Amino acid sequence: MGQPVVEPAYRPGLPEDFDRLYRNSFSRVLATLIGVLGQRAAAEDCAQEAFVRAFRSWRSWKPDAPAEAWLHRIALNVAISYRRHERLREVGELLRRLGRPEPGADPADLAGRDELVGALRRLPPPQAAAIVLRHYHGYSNREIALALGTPERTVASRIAAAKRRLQREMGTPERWDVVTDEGPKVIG
Amino acid sequence: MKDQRLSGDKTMTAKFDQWLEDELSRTLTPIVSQPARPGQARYQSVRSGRLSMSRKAMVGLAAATLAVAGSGVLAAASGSVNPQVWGQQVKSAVEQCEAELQPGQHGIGGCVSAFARQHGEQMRTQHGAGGVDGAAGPKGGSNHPGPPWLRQQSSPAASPTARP
Repeated sequence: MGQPVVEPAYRPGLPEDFDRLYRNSFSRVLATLIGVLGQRAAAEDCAQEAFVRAFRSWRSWKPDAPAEAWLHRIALNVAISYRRHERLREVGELLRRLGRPEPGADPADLAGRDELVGALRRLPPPQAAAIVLRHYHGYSNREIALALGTPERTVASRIAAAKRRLQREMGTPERWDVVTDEGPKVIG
Repeated sequence: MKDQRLSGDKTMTAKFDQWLEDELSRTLTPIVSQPARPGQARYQSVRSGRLSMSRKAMVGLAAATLAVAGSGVLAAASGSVNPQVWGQQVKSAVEQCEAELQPGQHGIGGCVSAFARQHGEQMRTQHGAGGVDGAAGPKGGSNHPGPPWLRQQSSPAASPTARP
């Protein structure tokens, strides 16, 4: 069995280290944003924008916090801003649509096809992000606190509140016993 | 009784956590497993924009330095007081310096200032003691070897900009 490969630390300001950070973190940031936004296209757009902002601040990044948590924090701010604008767009759409039939579901909208993603999307963005960071990425409370920009002591209560709401939305406890053999879902 | 209820809640929470993790994994893993390619990332356009800005800044800075320090020498060398003529020379020098950058080497400031210094020295030699004092001299202290076309020139007469 080979020795585990130790990643060298990132050095602020070095473009090649930022490229490495992108390779290591982009997909993980994208996964978190899909949980927050429920749409793959929107999540990709926000993730790209987050890396643009991070690249502009790369020189001033301080290695005392994990780089990926720092990236998540930027990405979440981008996603919150995106959702705010999205709500305004939705109100505009609603006003334009008054009296007309509702259009069909957008095939790129994961929230409309996947029950859990839909339920996550209805949570406040920091709660949805905390759920993905804990239960998918396996972040510790400290890392989630850094990513969300909140004190560590509020992370546990935020996750508990999010899970209570998800449990209510996801129906009866019996379904949680079901072990499915469907394999990975294909995301459009 | 209370203990039994607490234990039941814990079991329920553990079941829900497991279900949540399985569902997230099935939904998100296909996305995470796709490799990210930095070459296609949007931030690359910011990087190239920044590089071209720093290049422009370098040309501007070098031109301004030469204008202040050795405008007489450069005017004599190019045969013209038109700043566009010697500005073009500086631009060529910057381009050569950039082309010479080795992988992992950053900045062309040393190379460009070496160009200015050596150019100034050549002009002083050409025009003897009557040359303009204060041209970009060796006091900059840079030990950069300078661009290749200056290293190859053995005599000032080889300069394409030298007067007959």
